[in-house]
Amino acid sequence: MPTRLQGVLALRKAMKKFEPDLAKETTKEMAAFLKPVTRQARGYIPSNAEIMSGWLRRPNAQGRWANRYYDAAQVKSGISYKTSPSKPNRRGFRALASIFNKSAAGAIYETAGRKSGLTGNFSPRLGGQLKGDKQKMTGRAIFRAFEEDQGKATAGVIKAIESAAVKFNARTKR
Amino acid sequence: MADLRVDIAAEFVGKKAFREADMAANRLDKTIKKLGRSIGITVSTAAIIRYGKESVKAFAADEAAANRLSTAVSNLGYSLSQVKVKEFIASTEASAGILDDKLRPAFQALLTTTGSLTQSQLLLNDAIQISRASGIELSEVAQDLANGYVGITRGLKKYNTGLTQAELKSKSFNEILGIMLKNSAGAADEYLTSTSYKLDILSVAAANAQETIGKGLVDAFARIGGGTEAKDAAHAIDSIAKAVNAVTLALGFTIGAINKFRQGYTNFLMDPFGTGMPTSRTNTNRSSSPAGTARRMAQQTAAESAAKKRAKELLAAQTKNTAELKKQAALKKAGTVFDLEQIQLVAALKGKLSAEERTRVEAQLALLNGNEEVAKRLTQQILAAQDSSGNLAKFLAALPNARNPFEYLDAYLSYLAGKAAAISMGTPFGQAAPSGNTTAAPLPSPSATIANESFATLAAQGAGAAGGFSPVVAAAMNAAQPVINVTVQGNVIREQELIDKVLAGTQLSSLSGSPSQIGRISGMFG
Repeated sequence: MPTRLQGVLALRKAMKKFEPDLAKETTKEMAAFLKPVTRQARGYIPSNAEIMSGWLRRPNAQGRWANRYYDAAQVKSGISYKTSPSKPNRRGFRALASIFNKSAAGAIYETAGRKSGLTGNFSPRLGGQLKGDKQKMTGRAIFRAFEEDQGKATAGVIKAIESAAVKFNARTKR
Repeated sequence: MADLRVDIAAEFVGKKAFREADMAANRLDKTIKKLGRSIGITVSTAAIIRYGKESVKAFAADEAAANRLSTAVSNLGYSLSQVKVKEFIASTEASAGILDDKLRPAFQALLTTTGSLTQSQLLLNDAIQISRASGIELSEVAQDLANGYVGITRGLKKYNTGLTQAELKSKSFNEILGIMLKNSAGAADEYLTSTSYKLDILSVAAANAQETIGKGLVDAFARIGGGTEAKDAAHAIDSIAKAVNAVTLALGFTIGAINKFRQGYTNFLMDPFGTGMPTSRTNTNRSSSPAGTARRMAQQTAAESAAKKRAKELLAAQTKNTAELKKQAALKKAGTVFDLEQIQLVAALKGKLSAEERTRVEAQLALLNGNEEVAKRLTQQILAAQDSSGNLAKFLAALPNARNPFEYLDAYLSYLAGKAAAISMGTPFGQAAPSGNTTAAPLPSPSATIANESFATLAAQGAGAAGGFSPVVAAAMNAAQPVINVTVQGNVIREQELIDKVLAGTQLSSLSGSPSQIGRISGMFG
């Protein structure tokens, strides 16, 4: 559950316009709290040797699974963060910072079995742990890392924004 | 693919926009509901739009009806009385609780028929009273009265005036109208105290409000469409249907503002200095009547006099027609008086006649006049008088069907056959033939045959001398009853055989030196 804030976007716009250095500083502070989570999430990604051989890249593969092969490096590179605001979702919320798992194989590894359970021949062999406070926030990589982070990233981002706001107000009142 | 991400912190940016939209929608909804309640319709946007469309339609229909009446009024020479007609319609609508949509056609029907403004107004009031009493639609009553005014009283029968069809035809319109008004007296006044009348008043107010709103909408849409006419409004309505809400809302605000302004203006006029005392109007020593009254009155008087003249002519024509009908009836009656045959019979009846002769004359008179029943009865009396036993009547009643008048030809042909046979055999006619005993029968008399059979029939029917006929008739019947015996001897040959025999005879005669001679002109053969 993202923490709701008010006026952060306006503050960041204002900082970007009037105090660009403060904006950059704030971004760095936020990144400092997000990077450990992404690093931890990448650490949960199994190597190619640990994954089922049939899911690995096959040069002669055709069809829909030709591009959904598992490549640990690709999956790890797909796990990232960003500190710029996102587009509003359907309910009108804009995220101030996000952690992503962009690759297809990473998404499969992240979520396989979280709804139907660990059944069949695929999800039980993936390994790792499905962790999260609710189903949509449960996963093996970024969601697990975020869960294990115990909200430190969120608190750090908010703290960074608050400090930036204080600094911005202090600078603008001068 | 699902977007897998963890949102660290989020800000709800849609809230303000949503809240503003919510507030705007709620405010609009509340306003529309308020307007809807004030005009008494369902509180929904769709209903408002529908109401707006119906308002425009109602206004259009009302305007068309008003234009029709206006044209009729002008054509009848009351062009300067248009305002008076409108006032009359409006006042009648307000007082009687009848929509102007119904009043206008009714008034138009009466006005075009009578040609008189005052007469039409009186008749419309009468029509309202009769309509209230009878429950028949005002337009129908007005049309019936208009028809009755020109002498077509067939439609007045349904008002149960108690008059026969003949009375409706013979009585004047004013007499019939008087009876109808007498029967429906008080109905209109009583209706004014009923709940139905109050509902009518509300309906009239709602309908007028709808027409007014419709007019406003048409004007507004016309301006939006860049013009001033209804076609501009129609174009605008098509293109900006979604803007109806806003227009209606604005209309509501405008109405409120106008009301406030009117109230303030009235208060200012009444008390411009805020003294609390109403001010009196300044006397300008000018007539309170608007300009053009004299001209209007003159025009109205002229038209009224023309209508009166026409009514007088109509009445004269009706009277003349009635007199003509009466005259024709009298002539018909006189025609029977001057019928010579009837005169003779009537004169005969006045003379000294025996009972039987009187009955005969009366029967003849009845036949002449076509009085079948009396004629039949008198004929029976005559027959009974001729034969007290009643047998003659029975005899006449039981007469057989006419017989075949050519029956005697059978005997005649037999006679011819005998003669031909005698010729062919060369024997003198009347002697026995060598080959047989043919004796030609004497030629029978047709009258004798018929008479014989007729009397035989009569005797069989029991009408002989002992059957009760009078002695004279019985004697005549006995005297005319000869005994005729017909004996046919010899062979009766067929026609072809007869021809063959005639041919053989003529050939034989020719061979023996006496050729046959045929005289076509004289019809001789020998």
